[in-house]
Amino acid sequence: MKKLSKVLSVISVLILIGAAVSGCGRGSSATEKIDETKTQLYVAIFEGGTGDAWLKTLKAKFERAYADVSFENGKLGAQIIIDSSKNAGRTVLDYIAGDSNDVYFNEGISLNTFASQKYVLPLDDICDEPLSDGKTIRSKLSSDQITNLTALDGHIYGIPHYECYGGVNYDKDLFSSKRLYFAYDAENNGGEANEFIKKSSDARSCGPDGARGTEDDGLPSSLEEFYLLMEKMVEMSIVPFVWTGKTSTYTEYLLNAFYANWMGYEEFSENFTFSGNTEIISKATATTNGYTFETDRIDIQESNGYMLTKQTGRYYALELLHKIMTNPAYYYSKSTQITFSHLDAQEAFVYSRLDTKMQPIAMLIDGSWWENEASDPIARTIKAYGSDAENRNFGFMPLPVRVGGSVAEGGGKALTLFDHMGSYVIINANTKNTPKETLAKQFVKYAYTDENLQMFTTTSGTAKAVAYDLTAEQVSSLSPYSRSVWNLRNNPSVNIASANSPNEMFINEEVALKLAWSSVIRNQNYLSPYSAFRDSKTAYDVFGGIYELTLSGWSDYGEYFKA
Amino acid sequence: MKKLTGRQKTKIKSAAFYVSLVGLPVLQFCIFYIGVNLNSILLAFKAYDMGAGEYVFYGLNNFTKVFRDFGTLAYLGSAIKNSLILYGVSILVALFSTFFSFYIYKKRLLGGLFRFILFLPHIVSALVFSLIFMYFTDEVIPFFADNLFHTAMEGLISNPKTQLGAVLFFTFWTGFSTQVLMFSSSMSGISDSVIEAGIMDGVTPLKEFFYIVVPMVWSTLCTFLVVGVATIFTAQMNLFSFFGTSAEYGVYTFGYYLYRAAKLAGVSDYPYLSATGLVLTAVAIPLSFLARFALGKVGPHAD
Repeated sequence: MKKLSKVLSVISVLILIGAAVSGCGRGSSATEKIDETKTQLYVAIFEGGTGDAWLKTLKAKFERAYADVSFENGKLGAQIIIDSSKNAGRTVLDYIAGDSNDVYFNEGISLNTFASQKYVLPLDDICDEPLSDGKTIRSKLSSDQITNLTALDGHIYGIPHYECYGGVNYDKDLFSSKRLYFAYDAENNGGEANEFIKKSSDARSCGPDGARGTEDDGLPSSLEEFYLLMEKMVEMSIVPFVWTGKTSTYTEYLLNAFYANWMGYEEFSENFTFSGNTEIISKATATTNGYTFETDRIDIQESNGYMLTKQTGRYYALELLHKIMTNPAYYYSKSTQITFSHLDAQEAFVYSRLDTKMQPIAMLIDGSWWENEASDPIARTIKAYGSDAENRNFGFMPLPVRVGGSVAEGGGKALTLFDHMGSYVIINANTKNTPKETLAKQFVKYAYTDENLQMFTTTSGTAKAVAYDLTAEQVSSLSPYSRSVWNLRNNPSVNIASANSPNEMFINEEVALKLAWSSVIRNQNYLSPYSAFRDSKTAYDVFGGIYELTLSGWSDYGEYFKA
Repeated sequence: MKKLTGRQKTKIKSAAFYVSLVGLPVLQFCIFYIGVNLNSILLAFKAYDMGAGEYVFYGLNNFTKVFRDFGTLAYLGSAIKNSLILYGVSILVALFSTFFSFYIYKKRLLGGLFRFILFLPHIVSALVFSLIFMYFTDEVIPFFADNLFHTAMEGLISNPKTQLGAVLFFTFWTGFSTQVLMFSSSMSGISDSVIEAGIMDGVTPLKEFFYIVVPMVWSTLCTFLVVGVATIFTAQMNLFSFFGTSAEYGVYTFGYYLYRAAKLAGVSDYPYLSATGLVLTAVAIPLSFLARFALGKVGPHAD
């Protein structure tokens, strides 16, 4: 009996050790049978809005293309094993050192942190080697991207993966059928009317970019027009907005999109570069209708970076969100419920125009990946409503660039989109000096040929954050929504900002210096404007509160500007 | 070579068995307790140099920042307030749960059923149970309010005004059962002869509770209250289950603040968090000893 209990105890210990060691392995989703005749490459992917269909296609193509290439002695060809997970960049950072995945296509990656801790391989060599399309990866990166990527120590440790923007998505079919577009005012060069089109064929206003014949024609170019639009929607029993109540992050997508577009690429990017000149609100005077502002232009450097919280675009972004949130008629009733997820919001948006029990919803606050993420409800609507639900026209909305009136033709502002994803492909440093290193680099190079970049976009509906074109046929194969986003980002005048910079202070304090919307108002902290507005605070309260909170902690960065 | 005797062989086998059984837990303790905590303490005096890719000595600067933030960041004050409310309510619930445990211990009407119902939250995982509670308070209660009383009502978790109360209620509802099980088990260890002697002396149930049962389970109650003090700054109040990392500052507890901060932190932020942890430990240790001393002095004694 005594012996038996000892044996059982030892077995228990062995089971415990086994369980502990098995925890060190790869993710459970990597279940493909191993082909011992080939070299395996484990590729981890964040299972988010862009899905993994593109990677499955890439895997099949790569395995075929490299079937006759040996990456290690005694083996021929490669086997790509996909490990899909919900672990974004910050989580990957916690385990990458002990993980056996070789390549990661992920988002939310603080590249400098991964590189600084030597968790990833430098990729300079593959950026400069010619690809099968005759180009190099470096040639597909912009000069700003190269500056940011090499800021830490001159090496490139990650290559930009996908490019997504949070903001406002709208139902183009609803806008057309209900004539919710602004009309072109020929008498005033498009600059005065603030009137809606009366019939579908009427000429539409220039939109925020001030150019006719572009994606934003007929969309509100000023806050005044945006408010008129929401009023008109309410009069027509249309719900202007829906968003998730689960987290305030999504309402910040609207704030960021508006803020970036209002300030433009240069001035918005100062939030990360801490260098340049910008317009701020220098004085506010209370009036019966709110506030009137005086503005000023100031130089920005590290020592006064907190002044960026006074940029005009930040205030007007807050004003817009405040306007939306303080009138329950402007948003779907469940949008403030914590149980209402972003998937629920997408479903409500997709169903609302078709389901007769619902009021149509005109706009969804979400990222530019939403349609791919909402493929299930879209498929269900097609099943339930037939042709009415097919080929729906959704679009990504450029936001206003002025307070009142309307942008006149030629008087607009080029669109600035904010890619907030921090999405990169990186190679695990554990592959260094192993046969996997060559294979991993070959695979990444293969993923960045024009052909495969195009495949990525036509499969996922999303753009890669590098330079490439789609053929006319490929563009027409995209869904109307993906086409709308592609047309916006592919417009030569559009600027795409991202939260990156070669600034030393930003590199070192990236987490703390991310675009902040938290505030302190009368000794009460608010995580986001969303929660402050729900607590009856005004846009100006929050504007001042963000400044106060940012200023209070700025001395933490003193080492970067005390000469 | 000298041959081992049977006694020596047995000794070696016993030693090998002992090492195989205890080795792993000891190793785990050394790495994950001593190593991690030692590293954490050292980290509080360092800062991360992104260029060099390593932590460098930073003196007491992290502590300076922590003390400054305690004085300037309003939400830290709110976190302390909520942590103390959490503990205060837990004391009230502990007192109530001893009453209830007594009811179950005395096997009064439906006592067994109550025990079963109270144990239910522990069968379902905390995350799932918090989701059920969230849907109930945000969907079901407003639905009934609307249909039965024609009153538009916001969900109790969604509404910033009722959020803290709802989360507190959930925490104590789920915690209540643990306490009841703990106290009723402790009460069941009381000798029947003691109770019978009391009954023969004519004690009423109330007197039985205050003069016999409470003194007999006082050490269990004390343990619960002292452990509560020690965890004032680490109790999360289930906030992560409800809100992930997006809980509003108004409902923060210190436990949630630290957990969230560590989850979202970059490598540069860990030293500051380590310093915060050390400061809070420095507060919690004397508080725990003080609570233990005070409870030992003021409480009833079994003799």
